[in-house]
Amino acid sequence: MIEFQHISKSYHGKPIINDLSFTIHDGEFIVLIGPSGCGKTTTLKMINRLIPMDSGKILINNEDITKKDLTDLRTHIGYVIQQIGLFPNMTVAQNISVVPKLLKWEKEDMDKRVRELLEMVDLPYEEYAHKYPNEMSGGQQQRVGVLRALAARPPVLLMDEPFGALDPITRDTLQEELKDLQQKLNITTVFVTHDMEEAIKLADQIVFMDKGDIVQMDSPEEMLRNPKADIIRQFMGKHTKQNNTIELTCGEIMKTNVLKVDNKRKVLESLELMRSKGTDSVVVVDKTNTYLGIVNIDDLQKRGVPGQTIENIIRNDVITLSTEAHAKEAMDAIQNQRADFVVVLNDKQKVVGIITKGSIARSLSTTLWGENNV
Amino acid sequence: MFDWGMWVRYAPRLMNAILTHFYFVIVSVTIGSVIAVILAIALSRFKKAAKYLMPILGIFQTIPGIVFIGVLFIYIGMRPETVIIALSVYAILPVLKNAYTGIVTVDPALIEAGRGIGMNPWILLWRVELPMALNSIITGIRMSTIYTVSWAVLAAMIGQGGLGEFIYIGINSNMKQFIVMGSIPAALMAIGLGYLIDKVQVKLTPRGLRRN
Repeated sequence: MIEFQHISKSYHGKPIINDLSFTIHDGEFIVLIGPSGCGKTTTLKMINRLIPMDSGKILINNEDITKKDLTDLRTHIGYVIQQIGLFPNMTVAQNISVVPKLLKWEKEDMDKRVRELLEMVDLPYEEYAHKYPNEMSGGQQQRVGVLRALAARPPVLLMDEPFGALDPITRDTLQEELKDLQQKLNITTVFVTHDMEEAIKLADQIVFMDKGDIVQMDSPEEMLRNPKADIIRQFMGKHTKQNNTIELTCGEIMKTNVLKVDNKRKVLESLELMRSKGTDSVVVVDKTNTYLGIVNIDDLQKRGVPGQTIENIIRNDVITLSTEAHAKEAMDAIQNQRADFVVVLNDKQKVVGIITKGSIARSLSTTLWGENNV
Repeated sequence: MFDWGMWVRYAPRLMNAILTHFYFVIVSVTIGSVIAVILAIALSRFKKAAKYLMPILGIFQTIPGIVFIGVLFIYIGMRPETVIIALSVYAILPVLKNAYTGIVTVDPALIEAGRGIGMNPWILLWRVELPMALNSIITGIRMSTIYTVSWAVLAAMIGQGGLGEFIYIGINSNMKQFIVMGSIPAALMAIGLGYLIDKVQVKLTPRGLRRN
């Protein structure tokens, strides 16, 4: 548990932090966010005493950090910075071993730990342990930066905009890896960023700061739902604009010329129909156009008995959505559940359309760039 | 110009002069470099003071060697120590300048990372600052070495031998051959030591710090 008790700090008479008090529980992922100059980085660096406070106390597990030996304090707090700060004169293994070495671990223990850590982030020991930082990509370097911080199993991890200098795709991957690691190791993490998206993705609690004060401290969901100040709203607007999903329903993006067959159709007939239309599966309906399921060509060929109807080989495992459903659900189904298509039904369970990858792409491009440019 | 007979006749004496010269260079550069690196470390802790101190030290360098050796000679006498002290003092500045620059230009992010993960100033110096500045320090030592090879000629001025002996004899007796016999080995020594230091520099630079 990390407790901030009435912390104040000023530089040259200009207040940076005003009477800050809050508590971070064990295993929590806290993100400090706010506009530049809000005091978030100062707050972070006071925890490992890189910046001394003017007044107040910080307690880690009820121990006043100013009463602890500096090396002892810092070797038990992982620290990751934006500039990565790997030592260029040391190999990956040496960089990771810095803190264990300060703590006088045995050589074998250090080697074992290096292997273990590299494995956790999919950097094979044989390939990477003896590389130098300048022989790796920025993303790989920062992975090692995180490992260096975790090497001696600190109970607390401080991260100062660690992914700020990485390209968006790498940043995304590293965020996910970090969240995984953090949960696996149950390490109390304090993370500084100015990117609201990042904060929402990672945080258990977001601490929004402005001009040295906490404006709001809440879970990401709560902060999204009830931002307590305009500045937070602005921040979220600025940082989540790209995320605004376009309000489309399944009815709007579906294709309506669905290939349907009656459930009384014979196997060979259906096979012929599908071959001639060049499709792998077909929607099955009854006489009233009510949805029954689908039939695919594999099943027809393997299980279909010539002369019989297709009724026995109808599958029901296809996702169906109503015309009113949000288009995002269809995208989710196709993207995350790897469905080839989704069948769209109206409120009377009649088949009205089908959504495939192609129809999503088409409707997206129409929405984004207009009909003419498609 | 090249009177081989004379080279052969003076070979033992020339050999002796080369060894003496080499000895002066090695000892002075070693002493000078050690003092320089220690000074550089000290100054890098007090950057504000360094801003005023460095130019003052620079003034030393502008005192002609011949004057400095002359003054030392008055106090210490005609002894090898006089030569070594003078040459060491001259060897300091190039190393000091380079080492200081090397240390203070270490990326502040590395210093912060080092402090943040628990390195004390001493460990930070040994494991980060000095290794990062090593290249620059060696460049300074190389400069010092090459200068010192030529400054060591002055040793002969107070009768302490070295290749300067041949040069002074040559000048005093107006015999070019002696001047040549003194200066060619000196030039070769400078080139050879420079080359050697280059090799050492490459060897000591970890792969992660090599530019390629």
